Order: sequence, then C-alpha cells, then structure tokens
Amino acid sequence: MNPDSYDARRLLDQLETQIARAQENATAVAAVAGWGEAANGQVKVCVGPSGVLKKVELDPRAMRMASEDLAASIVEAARGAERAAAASIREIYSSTDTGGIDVAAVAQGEYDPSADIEQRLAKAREALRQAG
Amino acid sequence: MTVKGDPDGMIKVARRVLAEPYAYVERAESTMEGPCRLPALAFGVAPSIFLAGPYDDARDAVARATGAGADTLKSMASGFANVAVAMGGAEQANTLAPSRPPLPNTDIQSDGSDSASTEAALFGAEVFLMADWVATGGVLATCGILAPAALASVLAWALVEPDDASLSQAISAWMSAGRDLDSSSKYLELELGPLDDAWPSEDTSRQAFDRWKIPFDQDFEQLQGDPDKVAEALSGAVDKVHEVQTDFFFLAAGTLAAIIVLTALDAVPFVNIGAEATKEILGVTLSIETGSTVLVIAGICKDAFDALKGMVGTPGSFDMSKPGQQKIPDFKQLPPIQWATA
Repeated sequence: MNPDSYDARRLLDQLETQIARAQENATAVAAVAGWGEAANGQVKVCVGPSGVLKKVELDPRAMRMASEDLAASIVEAARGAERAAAASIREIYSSTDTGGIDVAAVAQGEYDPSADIEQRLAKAREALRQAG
Repeated sequence: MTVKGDPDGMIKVARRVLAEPYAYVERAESTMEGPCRLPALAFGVAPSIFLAGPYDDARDAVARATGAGADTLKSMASGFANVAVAMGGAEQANTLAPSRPPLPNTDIQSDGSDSASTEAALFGAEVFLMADWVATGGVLATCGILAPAALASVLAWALVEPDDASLSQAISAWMSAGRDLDSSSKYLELELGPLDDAWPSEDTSRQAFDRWKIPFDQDFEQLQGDPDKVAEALSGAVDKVHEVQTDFFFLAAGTLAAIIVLTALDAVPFVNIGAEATKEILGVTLSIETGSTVLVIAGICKDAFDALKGMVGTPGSFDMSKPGQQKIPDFKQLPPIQWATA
C-alpha cells in the first residue's frame, strides 16, 4: 500500500484480498497434521496445528520395548510432529504478510509477544526522544 | 538651496518608483496580510498549540516590514520630487501618487482546482498530507474494529488531521510574496537607472541619496529573503510530517496484517489458538505508537515554528542593530530623507 497514491476503493480491495487470504490460510492451518516418528518408525505420532495430539500409531514391535523407552519414543515422536506442524504452518504463510508475527509459534502457544512489543515501544520512545 | 539637474527627469523617476516597484511591494504586503495567514489547525489539533503564536508573530513582523518598505518607496519618490523642486521644477511631492500598473497574476493556490494545483505543483507548494492521513486513519479504524484495544489509536490520529488547502495556500502565498519583492527590486533598479542623467553624481544632494541608499538596499535585500525563509520553514515541516506519516502508515499496515491473520485463525473451529490476547497486546501497542507519532508530529511543528520565532527576534534587539543587520528589516531606522537640503 502506498499512502501517496491513496485510493479508498483500492485500499478496500486490498483489505478484502487480505481478509480472504487470511481465511484461506486459516482453513489450511486447521487441516494441518504434523507427523513425527521415533524408534526407527515403530512409533508414529500425529498432532494438529496447535500441537494437540491427534493420533498415535505403534508398530507391534514397539510393544516389545521397555515401557520407559516406549514413553520416551512417544514424546520424541510428538516433538517431531509439532515441528512438522509448525513447518507446514510457516509454509502456508510463507507468501503472506503476517506483520512480523510467527503464526506457527502463536498457534502452538509458544509466541511471546513481549520481545516484539518491547522492540516496537523502544522505537517509539526513540522517535519521541529525537522529536523532543 | 539650488540643485543642478533635470527636474523633469527626476519627476519621471519619482513616478516610475511609484509604479511597478511600489505596486509589487504593496501586493506582497497584502498577500502576507491575506493568503499567508494559516489556520491554527493547519497541522491538526495537537500541533496547534505551537503554531498560532510564533507563526502569526513572524507573519505579522514580515508583513509590517514589507509595509514599511512600501512606505519608504513612497518617501523615496517624494524625496525625488523635492529634489526636482530644488532643481527648479514645478511639481510638488504631494501631487505624486502611486499608479496602479497591471501586474501578472499571482500563483497562489487557494481553491484546490486542477489549474491552481498545477501552478502550486510547479512552484513546489502543493501539500499532500491529507491522503496519507486518511489512508492511515482507515488502517487504524480497521485495526480498531478487529482489535478494540486499537480504537484509541483512531482517536489519537484524529489530533493530527492536516489541512492541505490552507498549507498549500500559505506556502504558495509566501513564495508569491517573495517573487513580488524580487520583481519590485528588479524594477526599482531599472527605474533608478535614469537618475544618473537627471541628477549629477558630484551634487551633494545626490551623494546624500547614494549614502542613504546603501542601508536601504541592505534592508530591502533582507526583506526579499524573509518570505522564502517562512515558506521553507513551512515546507520543511510538511516534508518531515509526510515522512513520519508514511513510516507510520506502513507500521499500522503491518499491525493490521497481523491482526487480520490472528482474527482469521481464531475464527476457524478446532484451531482455537487463543489469538485474542495477542490481538489485545498488538492493539495497545499500536495505540501507544500512534500517540507517540502524534507527539512526534507536534514536535516537528514546534521545531519549525520555533525557527520562525528566531526570525522575529526579541523586543529591543532592533535598537542595538544597524539598518540591514536586524533579524527583520526596519526601514524606519534609515536616515531621514532630506537629500535636497543636504
């Protein structure tokens, strides 16, 4: 958007496009399924976009593992699944302006806005200091 | 006292001084008293506190100096007529009056029409702050709809609503006044040319005039520069505000992009990422940033108008200055015109 060539109709069209694209992306995010595996593929885990466990697949051979090893493999597979889901979300938003927000981190509850906000407020303070 | 020379030639010069040279200065003064006036809200409510006093003081001081310059041209013409009488001419100074020669139209933009805009653009006086302001206001309003915490930004942004028409008019009016003073100066030099034939340089009255003209020229030269200084101060403020507005527009557009993404995600069933809190934080941040941008714009205006305060100077400083060396020319400090009796 270039404010120098302000055109209300064009800005509205851009806004509509932005909103439509955001909805498409959000629908795509809802369908994201991240898969991860461990123990040579004997343990497979699927999570949704927010990292919520959706499915666990255990190969019969996995049942012969020690319970501690099996638990650790499930956790490892789940982490891999979360990373895969995050990568899919980032891919969905790769060509979209998100205003600098990591949507994958937001979706998985790992986004800490304080760093970004502090940076922006520091810029505002600096601008005020220079002006004042 | 008898003065040698050509009284008819002197009267002719006196009449010519009261034609274009006087008419251009008179029009410059009337421009400063009229179209150069700037509404206090030209840059919005927030900067108005810094605008009203210093700008009006500077405009008034330059207008008064220009009026004094016009009076001095009249006195110069009267002085020439008195010299003509001393040469044996019949016409008295009190029979002289300014003529009203037709002058080319000014280039002052005042009605926002296309032709006026073209002229204003030609002289670099067209202001486009409103388009930025409206575009940014639209983005902020959309942010406010999607994230109510950003609504405060809309209110803050309203404090710097610019008045493009008034700013364009004032800047182009100052430029026009400056050009009128330049024209006056050029015509004056042209019209004073025949003096050399009519008024011998060895005459003591002519020598008195030549001595008088040195500080007059200094004052007039200084006066010619003053409208440009004010126009530059205004244009500079407009340019800086434009830069700040553009930067802030892109910042607000980025925040809007983030808010739209989060809103869309929040609306999809089963995703449920709890984006409201992040939107709230973004909205509050945007409102704070808007507030700081408003203060930055007010600061830009304050700097620009503080510079104008420097033009006017402090009361009493004129007494310490010699003609041609004050911050604002003071034609009343010129030596009295008594060339014919010198």
